[in-house]
Amino acid sequence: MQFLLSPWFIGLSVVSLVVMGLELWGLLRACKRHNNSPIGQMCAKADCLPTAGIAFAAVLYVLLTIAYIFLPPILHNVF
Amino acid sequence: MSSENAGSGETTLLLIKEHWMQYAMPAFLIVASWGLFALCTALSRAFMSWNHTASVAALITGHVLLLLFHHAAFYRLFSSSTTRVLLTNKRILSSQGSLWLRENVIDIPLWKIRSLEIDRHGLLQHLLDYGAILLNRRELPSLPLIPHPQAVHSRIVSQLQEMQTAFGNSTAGSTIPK
Repeated sequence: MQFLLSPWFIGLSVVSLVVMGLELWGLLRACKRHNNSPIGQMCAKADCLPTAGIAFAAVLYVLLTIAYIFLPPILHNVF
Repeated sequence: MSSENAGSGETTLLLIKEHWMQYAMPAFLIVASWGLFALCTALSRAFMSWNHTASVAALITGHVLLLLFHHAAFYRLFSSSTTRVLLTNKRILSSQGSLWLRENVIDIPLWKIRSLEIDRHGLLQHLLDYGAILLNRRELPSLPLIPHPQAVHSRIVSQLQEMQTAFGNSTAGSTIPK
């Protein structure tokens, strides 16, 4: 339990959240850039980003990252 | 799909998204990262009664591996998800890149294409029907991970033939002054 409250684990969790935020921000920028590009302009209706698949992957990413942060304390309490 | 850009007379003919195999490595990394995390957590519990330092080391190793591989996998997945290839009646457009680090937009006029090759090797590519399309024997940037490359190859070739026919008709119709 000491490890879970240790600077190590808290630091890893904070880094993880920051990296997650940067990746999601980068994804939004990439989607916006694509929609404004020649390909995005010509295929506006057929291929507007983000697609449902990308949105699902982003939600999965957030859930898994949060699980990574909160799973160890839950496992510690269970076992 | 076909849509027309009225201003320039350019018509979109085919929008190609790369084959789903591009997500195979990210998916493997995600599964591997969580598997390694579970393994390190199990090792940590096993070492708990034997050696506390080894137990903590195993737990930290699991967390670091998960942190690295989990985020790297999704970084690669998101980078691949915005890759597109567009065939119009005048050019081939391709956008590839990675989040924050690289952006690559390729614009290949069709008149520059002298040869087309399909590069498909290995059992997996044949079974899953994907491959790369090489232009001018790799002198021009190639188009990797194209699904149904035969169909895409045929579409490009038919458009090139249309362009040649249109060019032939326009030069035959023009008169040379004496």
